[in-house]
This record gives sequence, structure tokens and C-alpha cells, in this order.
Amino acid sequence: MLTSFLAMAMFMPLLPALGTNLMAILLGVFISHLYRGYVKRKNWKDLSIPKLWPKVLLASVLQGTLLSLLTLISLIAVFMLIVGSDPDAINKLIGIPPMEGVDEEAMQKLRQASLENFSGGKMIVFLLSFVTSFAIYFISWSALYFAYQYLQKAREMEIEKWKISASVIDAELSTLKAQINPHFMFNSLNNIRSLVAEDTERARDAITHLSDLLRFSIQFDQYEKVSLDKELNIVEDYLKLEAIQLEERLRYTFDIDKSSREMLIPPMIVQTLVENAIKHSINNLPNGGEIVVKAAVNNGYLLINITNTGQMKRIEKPISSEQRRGIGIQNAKERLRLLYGENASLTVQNLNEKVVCATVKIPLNVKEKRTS
Amino acid sequence: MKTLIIDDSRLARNELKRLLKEFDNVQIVGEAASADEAKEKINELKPDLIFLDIQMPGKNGFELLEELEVLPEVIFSTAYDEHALKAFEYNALDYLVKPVQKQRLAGSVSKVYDKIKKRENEQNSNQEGILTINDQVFVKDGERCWFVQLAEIRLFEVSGNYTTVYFDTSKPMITRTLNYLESRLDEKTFFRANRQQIINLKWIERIEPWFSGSLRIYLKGGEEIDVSRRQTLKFKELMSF
Repeated sequence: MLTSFLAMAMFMPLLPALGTNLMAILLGVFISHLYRGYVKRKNWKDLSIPKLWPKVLLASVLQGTLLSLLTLISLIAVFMLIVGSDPDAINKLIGIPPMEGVDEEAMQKLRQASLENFSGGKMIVFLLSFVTSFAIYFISWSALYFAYQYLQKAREMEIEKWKISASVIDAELSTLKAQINPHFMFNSLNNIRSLVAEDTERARDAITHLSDLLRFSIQFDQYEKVSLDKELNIVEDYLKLEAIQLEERLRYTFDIDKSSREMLIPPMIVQTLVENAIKHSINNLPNGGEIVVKAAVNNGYLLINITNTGQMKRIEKPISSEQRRGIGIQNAKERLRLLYGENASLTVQNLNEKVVCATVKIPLNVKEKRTS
Repeated sequence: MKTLIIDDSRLARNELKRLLKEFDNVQIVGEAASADEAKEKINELKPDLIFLDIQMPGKNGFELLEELEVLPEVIFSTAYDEHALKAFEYNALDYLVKPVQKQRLAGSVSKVYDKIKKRENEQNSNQEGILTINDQVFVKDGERCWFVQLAEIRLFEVSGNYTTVYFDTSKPMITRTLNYLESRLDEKTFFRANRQQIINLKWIERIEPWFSGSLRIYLKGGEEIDVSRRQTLKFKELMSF
């Protein structure tokens, strides 16, 4: 900008030069603003540097040319204005100061010479230099802009990474706390001890179920996937153990579509929801209740429904067990979000006055959003 | 000791019964699978001791205790519930974790047995249904719980529909009315000083004459009680031989 100003000041009075230049600056800001909007829409900041720089170069030259043309137009407009108000001014503009001892003819020749100065090849060189200087301006603008964007993006990625690792730790912790519910564990052990005296065969089965359940929850990493079939086996182990404790108070059925059995899901998702249903509903109903686990493939999604007798209450005072319920479901939601982004969902709601329904929706064929 | 087992799991009850078989001083009179069933059986069978599971469907163990008028000795049993047990900060509380260790069970049983024996020796002329200073009440105030021996309570005071119980440094409220308490408390120890207050005579520090023939009683806890004129006569009668 300074260069263009100097260029103009060379053959223009100070004030018009300043004005034209101000105009050029405003035009520059306007054009770069439009450019920024365009860049944002096209998400240039997500491009890699080798892809980005030719685009930026071309855009800068284009913008430089545009700005040069606009500046030139405004320059001519200013010229016209000055000439219009003071026809003599053209002489001043061309920049030949009045000289003494020079006759009119010589003066005319001088004017002619300096006018020639403005035409032809020189004019093109002049224009080119204008374009280049503006293009350089836009290049440096882009450099600053993209440098800032990259920095911002790096910082966001850092934060996201940190968030994910924090939630992994959190998920792992609550796996230990919530998924192998200690209350359930010790009750099962106590029941098994009683069964040893009463029904040895059942006691032996119960020990196997408990072992399978423990093995499963220890073995699987939060971010691995298991087949629905495998998960449901574990859920069944779990329900069999709960049935020892709850006896006739617990009734359960599975309604699993054959095509969904081999689908992959994050481990312990169904388990968490079934456990939740028992902990917060069946457990508190003196006459017990029923749990139905359904799974089907529909429209490119795996849908898992867990319905149970009971009502979901609004959490009024978050104390121990209520808090735990929150963690279990929250944790499952977070895991789905980290694995599938916005494509998967988990909702728990009252279906009617007697039944609660938890629904998990998992996309079948999506690019997984897996970090780390 | 007449003993009642309260647990929602049949197997858990059976296991405890098997364990208790070896104790000659424990006589199992019944079992209950829920708080409501337990309440009925306690009123009917009047056990000396209950084994109480904290987590049960419907009402939990604490809610059952709050509803009981006469409290038997209680041994809690729980699979895993740190939070619930933390409620008892001021009481040496007996609880067992399931699966129950035989030695711990023996310890708890003999402790309760000694307590009951001691009480029986002290109160030979026990009137039916009257609470004596050796009986205990279960008090729950928000998140905190206490088993309080009546001997420790200095004062009952009306506060709205509730009654404030003064003992140690605590003043929790219970849902019983003062009139009800008066009818249940042993009148040799607990005296209705006025319409608002019942005091424990064993906690009196000194007595001063007050206006128009009434009395003012100072309790060892620092409370000052004005005895109504009508009750002053009764009080003097009670104190004379």
C-alpha cells in the first residue's frame, strides 16, 4: 500500500493521492473480506499445504488484479474530477512545475514528452507493478490468515484429544465401578454359597455364569467391538444370576432378529442397560417385572430395544444410586458418540405408565470416527 | 433370643438360617422378604433380634426401622453398601457383609445376647408396651441415623407436628407426637413438665422455685424447663416419698 501511495504521490497532489489510496485500502479490505467468506465456505483451512498454496497464489493474483483495476478506475475517476473542476490542473498533475525562461513552445514539447511517458509499454509495466504489489499484499494476508487457522485447528485437535483420553479413563473407571456392580457381585456370591448346600448343580452353573461375566468385562477393551450374539450371551449369564437372587420376580425374554446377531457393537452396552433396568425397576418392585430385549436391522441401522416394567423417575435429589444410574447411561452415550459420532443414539424413556424403554441405534456401515 | 430374618433373597435367608443353626441362644421365629412383611411379623412375633438387609424392594431397611414402635436389636446385613452404613457416624453399629463370615456373626450375636441379658436383669417389673430407659429408638434426621437408648435422651419437645429429641449434642426430629410418647414412656423416668416438653428425670441438674409456686428445672445439657403450675403439684408428689 505504501508503494502504491508513493507511486501515486509522485505525480498527484497530496490530498487526491491520499484519498485514492484510502479508497484502495478500503477496496482491499472489502475484497479480502469476500475472499475470507469464500475460503470459509470451501473449508480451505482443512486442506493440506501442498494443495492449498497454488490456490492461494492464484486467488491472490486474481484479487491483486481486481484491486488494481478498481484502484485504477477510482484513480481515473479522481483524475476526471480534478480536471473537471480545474482544467489547468492536468498540467500540474503531469508534474511539470512552471519554469522561468522557458517559452510556451518548449513547455508544450515538455508536456508532450511527459504525456508520452504515460502511454504504451510504460503504462503496462506500471500496471503490472501495481498488480504484483497488491498480489503480494493478498499473499501475506492469506499467509497470516491460514497460519492463524492452522494454529487454531491444532489447538482444537489438542483439546479434543485430551477430552477423548479423559473420557476413556472415565469410562474405564466407571466400568469397574458400575458394570461389575459390587452389590450384584457379592449378592451373587452369597446366593451361590447358599446354593452349594441346596442345589449343587445350580451352584455349579451359577459359578460358570459368574466366571463368563467377569471374564467378558475384564477381557474387552472399551473400544473394541463384539458381536451382538456374544454380548447377548453375557446378558443372559447376567440375567440367570439375577434370577437366582430375584427368583420369580424376574422374567425375561429375548427377541433377536437373526440378521442382527453378527452385527458388531461396543461391549457392555446392552449389559449396562439391562443391569440398569434391574437395578432401578425390577429390584424395587415387590412383585417383580419383565425385561424384553429386542434387536433388529432396519434401514441400515441396528436397533436394540430394552423394555422393562417400571417407570423412569426424574432425578430429584441426586444421591448415590441415582447418580450411578446417570453415570451408566451417560457413559454408554459417550462411548457411542466417540465411536460413531452423531450417527448412533441412545435414548431412555417411559413408553407408557408401566413400561420403560431404552433404545440403542447403531449405524451398520459408516466410516468409524475412531481416534487414537 | 427370638430372631427374625429379613432379606428379599430366599437363598440369602436360607444361608443365614443355616449359619445360625449352630447358635443355641438364637431361636429363629420367622423370616420376611420385604419391609411390610417384616413390620407385620415384628408386631406379631415380637422378636428380640432382627437380621435386616438394607437394600430391599419397596421400602429399604432404614424405612422399616423408622416405622417400628418397639425396636428389637438390629444386626444389619448388606452385600455392599458403604454409603448407607456411613449414615451411622455416632453409633457403634452392628453390621455383617454378605457372604457372612462365621466368626463375625458369632461376635455380633454374642454382643447382642449380652445386651439383652443385661436389660432383662435390670427390668424385672416390665409393663407390657411401656418403653423403659434401656429400650432404644431409631432416629433418622436427613442423611444421619442413630440408635438412641432412652436413658440418653434428656428432653422431648414439641415442634409443629414433630417432636425434637435432645440427646448428646444432637437434636433430630421424630414423627411421633408428644402425647403419644407420653403414653408410651415409663412415667417413673419421663415427666411431662408442660404442654410442650417431656423431661428425663435422671438428667435434672437442679430445681429452683419459680413464679407463683411453679418450678424451673435446669437439665444437665443446659436446657431450662418451666414446669406448669398443674404439673408442679404432680412433680412434688412424684418426688416425695
